This record gives sequence, structure tokens and C-alpha cells, in this order.
Amino acid sequence: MLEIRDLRVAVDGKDILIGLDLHVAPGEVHAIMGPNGSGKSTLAHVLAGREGYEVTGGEILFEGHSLLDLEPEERACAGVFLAFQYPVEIPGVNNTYFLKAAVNAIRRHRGQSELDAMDFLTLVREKLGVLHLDESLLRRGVNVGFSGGEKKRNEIFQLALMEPKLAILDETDSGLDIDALKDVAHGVNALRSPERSTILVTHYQRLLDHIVPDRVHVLSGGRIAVSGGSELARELESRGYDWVREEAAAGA
Amino acid sequence: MSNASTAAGRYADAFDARAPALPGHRLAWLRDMRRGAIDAFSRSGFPTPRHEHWKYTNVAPIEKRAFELEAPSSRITPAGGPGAHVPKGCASPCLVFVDGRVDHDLSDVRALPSGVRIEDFTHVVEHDSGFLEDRLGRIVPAERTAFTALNAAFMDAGAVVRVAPNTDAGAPVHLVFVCGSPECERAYHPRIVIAAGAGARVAVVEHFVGYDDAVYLDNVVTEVEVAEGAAVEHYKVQRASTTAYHVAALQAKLAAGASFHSWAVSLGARLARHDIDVTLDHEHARCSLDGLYVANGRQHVDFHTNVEHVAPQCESREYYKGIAGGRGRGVFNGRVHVHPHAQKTEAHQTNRNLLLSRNAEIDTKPQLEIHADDVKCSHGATIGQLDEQMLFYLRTRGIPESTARGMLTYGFARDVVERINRPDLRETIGTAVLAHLPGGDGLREILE
Repeated sequence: MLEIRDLRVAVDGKDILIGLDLHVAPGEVHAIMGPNGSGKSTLAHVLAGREGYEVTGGEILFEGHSLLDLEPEERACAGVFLAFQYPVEIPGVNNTYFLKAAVNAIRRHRGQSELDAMDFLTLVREKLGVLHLDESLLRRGVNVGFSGGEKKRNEIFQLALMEPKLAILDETDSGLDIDALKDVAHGVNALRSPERSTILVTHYQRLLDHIVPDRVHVLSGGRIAVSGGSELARELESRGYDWVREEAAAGA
Repeated sequence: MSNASTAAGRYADAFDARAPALPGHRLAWLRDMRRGAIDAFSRSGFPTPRHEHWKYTNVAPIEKRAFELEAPSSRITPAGGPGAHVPKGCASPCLVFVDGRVDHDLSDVRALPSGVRIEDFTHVVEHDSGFLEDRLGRIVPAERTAFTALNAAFMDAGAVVRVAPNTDAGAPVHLVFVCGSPECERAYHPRIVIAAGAGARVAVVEHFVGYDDAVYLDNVVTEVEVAEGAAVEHYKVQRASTTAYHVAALQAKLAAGASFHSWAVSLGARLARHDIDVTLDHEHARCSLDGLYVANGRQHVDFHTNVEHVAPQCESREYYKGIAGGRGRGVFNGRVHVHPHAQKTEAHQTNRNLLLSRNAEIDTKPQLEIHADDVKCSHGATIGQLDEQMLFYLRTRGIPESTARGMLTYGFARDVVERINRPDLRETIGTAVLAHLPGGDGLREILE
């Protein structure tokens, strides 16, 4: 599904990722953990195609094709989805209109017929229930006046509507209360399938109680320092990140 | 004897030739008004950018053109007929003017509520001149600008909308001007008079549309009289040909407790200038002025608003947004003048602008002159670009960049459209706005 080889990324001339390797097979859930500033969000944004991140080396292959050559919308159409840590508010663009435009853009790319207003509403209602999102939020501007939790639920709602092959969740758990966390986890778990992969970028272990990863990687100093199974997350929770940093330093 | 080699001389000569055929030539007061106006124009000539009010808007292209000033002799209409140019949603009542003359086939002012009169200006000049004698030029004096002077001299078409006291005119009155002549480059001078009696309510929509590639000048004057406790909504949809020139002066005079809402959108014309003036000289009058201007390609659009707070306890609110793309240029000048006795005035002005390209330009100037001390006044002006984070967010959802830009551009304009109080008008006008925005095609559903 996703193959990252020796990825090097700089922002404003400063090296953030210095040789990151990651292999995510279809159906797998990988957690990327690490201390603040270790480059977790940079990885998420580079995968989605954000400007301002300079890829200075390495490659990212998605289903065998280079992602780096694609525009953000082309990546989305290819099946890559990023749930943002800080979803932006877009006044004046109605949430329903936006969601329908997004779903239909992907459908067009897949050669499927566009959904009309009725079909779209049916789809929306089916997915809304899972996330306990109030239907009134659909009539507002995209994320406008949404609480922190509503914004995150809206991200996962979009994930459910767009059914990507690879979902990247950037700190989706930050700032969520336990109910919202469970809804988000439920939304993500509902999409788990042998064809779909997920990358969870997170600082804390608690999301991983609800979405159990196949692999856990710890990012430190711009590369993956330690990898393991889901038990690694619990170890990090009890021991913190310092030992990873020390081991990485000793290894380097 | 005038000098035909100057623009002023050309207009003066054309006036001399045409005066005997202008509506109301038999009326001494109107003859005098026209003569006084052309004399004022001859003295002033067209304004230049040295004139403070025209600093950013150079009307030399208008001055240079030798517009036809004779009355239209025959009517040759392009393929599809003028009816095809009447905007959708212009239901009854409507008065449609084609190439400067009222078109009775396209107009429909039959089933009006009692107390509501909508008439062709020339008809009122002929049959009810007393009404006009008391009003023409009282709100917009002929010598106000070179353009209002020309309008007063040549005014030969337009509409008179009258609503009796305590009457609700109901559905909006549509005044549609389909301009441009295939045979010449004409100047049009429509005059619109709106008079709402005490406690009356009325909404009037002025539509200006033009044939593709037609070169012409719209030079419009609208005078609005809002009597005690009356409420007038005035909508203006300027969609002139992008090769045409559009200059308009709108002024409202409000009695005590009256309210006036102006909502204007400027989408067409190579060069458009909108002067909107409101005089609040009686207590508890209030006005809200909303507008949207879009300048693409090489379009130039200029809004000058002026609110005179003469009486105490009046309120004015202004909300204008501008969008400039290509090499387009937008100008906003919002003057609020609070006179010494106008205590308890509340005046708020907002002007926000969006630049879509490197070569586009916006000049905005709030101009508050406050001579009373117990007032609440505010103003804010901003110029920005499309937000890169919003753009990225939309693109990560599979939306192509051009569509995303269109969505954000309409998103910027949307709240102005939502200030249209009437849902049917909101849809009609929203559609027109969308059609003129870069990337607006294919975003039809964004209006829902």
C-alpha cells in the first residue's frame, strides 16, 4: 500500500525528516508516535501534499506509484485521506455542499456516477449516526463555529464518506473528551478492512486503546527510532519518550 | 457658441440639437432645468483624477468616446431578441427598457396593488408633470457632478415608482434596462424616481444588462424619497456589457423614522462608478448600505458612498465587499459625515476586499468626519487573498484547485448576498453573482 524509503524533508531550510523508512501493508493500522517536534505532523502533511515542505531525498510510493508527483487533489482521488489536527474553518462554504463536492470529485475519478442530492442525503444520514454528529452542522459553513470535538468528528465523518484506501489521522485524539474519542475510534474501526490502511499520528497512547494498531513506530530525531507491536505504545505510556531518544542517540 | 472639438462642446451642441425633442420641452421649469444642467456641464466638463472624488477613476475613456446622443430612431435587436436579455426571476411587476425606450411587450405593470403606481418617466412628464416638478433634482441636484448634470440635461427614459401612504407594494418592482445598440455607441440617461408615502413599503430592483460587445454609456440617476415611517429597499444589479461604461448616482432622503436599504452588486462594465448618498436629516431614520463589486480582466469599478448624519438618533450601517482578479481594479470610498447636532448617531462601516491576482488592485478609503461627541461610530477596511490553508484543505478532499478557488471566492461574497432580505431575489441575484465570479461555473449548487 505505502512504501516510504529514506524520506528527507526540510522546512524553511531546516531538516525535519532525515531518512524515514515505513512500509504499510493493505489492511494494517500503524501508529506513529513520538515526542513533540519529532516530525510526526510533517510526515502527515508531506503525505497529503502540503506546500512548504521540501522533499530533499527519498521516495513515497503509494500502490507502486510516486505520490510526490501528485497534486493534493490527485492524491485524494488516488485514495489518500488526511484527517487534520486543526481543521480549518471556511466561512461561506456550506458543509453539505463541500462534502457533496468532495464525494463527487472522488466518484468522478473512480468512474462512478455522481450522487444527486437525494442519494447523497441517504449516504450522509447513514454515516452521521455512527459519529453522533448533529445534522444541523451540515447546514453551517465548513467547521464554522464547530467545537473542537465537532471538528474532529467532522474529519472522521469525511473519512467515512470518502472511503479512502489510506487514512492518515494527524493527532485526531488531541483535545477530545472520552465520548468523542470513542466515537472517533468507532468511526475509524468501522472502516477497517483488508483493503484499507490507516496511519495514526499521535502523542498519546489512549487512542490506541480504542484503535488497536498492528505496528507502532516511534519517531525521534527525524527518523523511526523504534518499532514494535501494540505493546510498545503501553511501554511508552509508562516509560515516556526519553529512553527512545537516548537509544537513538546511542545507536547514531 | 460652443467648441465642438471638446467633449463639453460636443455634448452642448448635441443638446442644442435635441432639446426641442426631449420629453417635456413645453414645460418651462423642465426646459430651464435642462438648460441649467447643460450649462453647468459645459462649465465643469468631465472630472479628471485631479478631482478628489475621481482620484482613482479616470473617466477619460468616456470623455474620448463620441457617444450618440440622439434619440433612438429605429430598434434593431440582436438575435434572440431583447427578451432573452431580461434576467430570469424578473416577475411582474416589471418595466423593461430596450435601447432607451420602454418595451410594452416585455413590461407588465397591470395587476398592481391599489396605491402603487409604476410608470414610464416620459409618461409622467407628459401627464403628471406637477409631481416631477416638485421632485426632480431636489434629491440629486443637477450640478452635483458632471454626470448628474448630463443626466438632467438629456434624461429621456426611466421610471417613476409611487407608493401611497401606509401601502405595502408587495412583490419587488423590477426595472430592467437592456442597453446597447447594434447600430451605434449610444449614451443612455435614465432617471428613476421612487417616492414612498408615510408608512409605505416598497422594494425596487434596477437591472442593467447589455448586449455582448456593445459599447455604450449608462448614466443613471435615481432619486428616492422615503416619507415618515416608510421603508424602501433598493436593489441594483449592474451586469452591463464588459465593453460598456456605467455611471450611476443613487440618493435617498429620509424623513423621521424612515428606513432605507440599498443593496448593490457591480459585475459588468469596463468601467463602473456607483455614487450612493443618503441624507438622514430627521430623527430615528436609519439606512443600511450593502454592496459587492467584482472586477475581472481589465474591469474598473468604483463605489463612493456618503452618509450625511444631519439629525440626532439616526443609524447607518455599511457592508461592502470587493473582489478583484486579472488586472481588475476596485475602489471603495466610504464617507460618513456626522454633523454637530447629530448626537446619538450610530454609524458603522465595513469594507473587505479580496485580491485574486498579482496584477489586481483595490483602493479602499474609509472617511469618517465626526463633529458630534456622543456617537458610536466604527469602520474597518481589509484587503486579503484566498487563504492557503483553506485551499489546501479543500484540495485534500479531492476538489480541483480551480474549483476550490471558485468555492472560496463565492464563500467570501456569500454573506453579502445573504443580506438580500427577499429569498426569491437572493436566488436570482446569487445566480448572477456566481456566473460572474472566476471559477463560478459549475458551482451552481453552492447557492442551495
